[in-house]
Amino acid sequence: MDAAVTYEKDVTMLPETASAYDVATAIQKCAVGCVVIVDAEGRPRGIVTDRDLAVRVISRDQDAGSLTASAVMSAPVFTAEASDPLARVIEVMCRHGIRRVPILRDSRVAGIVALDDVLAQLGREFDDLGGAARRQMFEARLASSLPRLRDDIETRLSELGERLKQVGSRATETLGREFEELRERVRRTLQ
Amino acid sequence: MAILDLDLRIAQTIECSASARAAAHRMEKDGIGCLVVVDGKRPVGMVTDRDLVLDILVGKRDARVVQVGEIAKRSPVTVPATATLAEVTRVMRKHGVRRLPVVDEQGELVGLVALDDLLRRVATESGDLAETLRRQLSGESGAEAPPRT
Repeated sequence: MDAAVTYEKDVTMLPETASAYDVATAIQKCAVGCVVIVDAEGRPRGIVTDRDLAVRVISRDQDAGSLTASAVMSAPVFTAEASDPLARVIEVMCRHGIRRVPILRDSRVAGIVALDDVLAQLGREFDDLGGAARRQMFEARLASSLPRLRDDIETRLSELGERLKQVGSRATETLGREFEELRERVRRTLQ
Repeated sequence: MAILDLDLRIAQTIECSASARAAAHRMEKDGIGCLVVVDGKRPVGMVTDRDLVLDILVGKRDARVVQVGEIAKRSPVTVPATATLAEVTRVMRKHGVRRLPVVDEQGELVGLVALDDLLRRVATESGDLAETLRRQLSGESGAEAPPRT
């Protein structure tokens, strides 16, 4: 089972005293979608996305230079531990309807996992699986046991499709585990 | 399969002469992250919440004065309603976008296609495909057996 850290990226952080303008500048310079607002010890206090700035500053006609990050951030922050499995991170995203989850080490913000990165990785695994399945079928054909194997692979793929669907809409705790199992299975069969 | 067979989203539009602030307000009110900028019925660009932040806040410009037509990218990327799913994903990847305006033969806006919808669609399709295959293999549901050689 993949750990959350596999998908972890660098995180951009600012103190609560930073202005909304500082946050917007950081979002542009670091090419990120959000900034995590932390206290002096690096503990998460809130999170500001590009959308938060559009809605809470521009739409409401506020002055970005005088508005503080703490006034525009969303709080509390929903986080995961670096030791958590990916399934736990996905669960946090689904439960709270968010796309980004800061990762903590010793209560301090150390990284971030974004849904887009997870989906991109799952897509690559789907691709790998397709290649593996084709090879497996070829070998099975030689061994004249194609129907049973194909049935098996297709059943698993169907289940996988269901899981993927859930990522797009509702929670799935087992997505990561299912993927890992499936990969192991294909790997074992191919040996 | 053409994307027109999908349930396209209704495109939320805004006139190119509207202010950036009006656009942000629409996004807040309607709970959306992007608007298709139109000149009459013709789409001239897209503007996202992120575009507004980078242009207005980082650029220190007045949201009440700047028009969305200035922020929206020139020569907007659109896809024809006859485009296939594969063509749409290729365009999204090439331009690094998640949503695309869909236009008819006259270049008029007919809807919006979003990456999230495509993902759901692909997941459903792969499930259906597997189900069909399984039924054929087990000889269920009167499906014609594949010819044997």
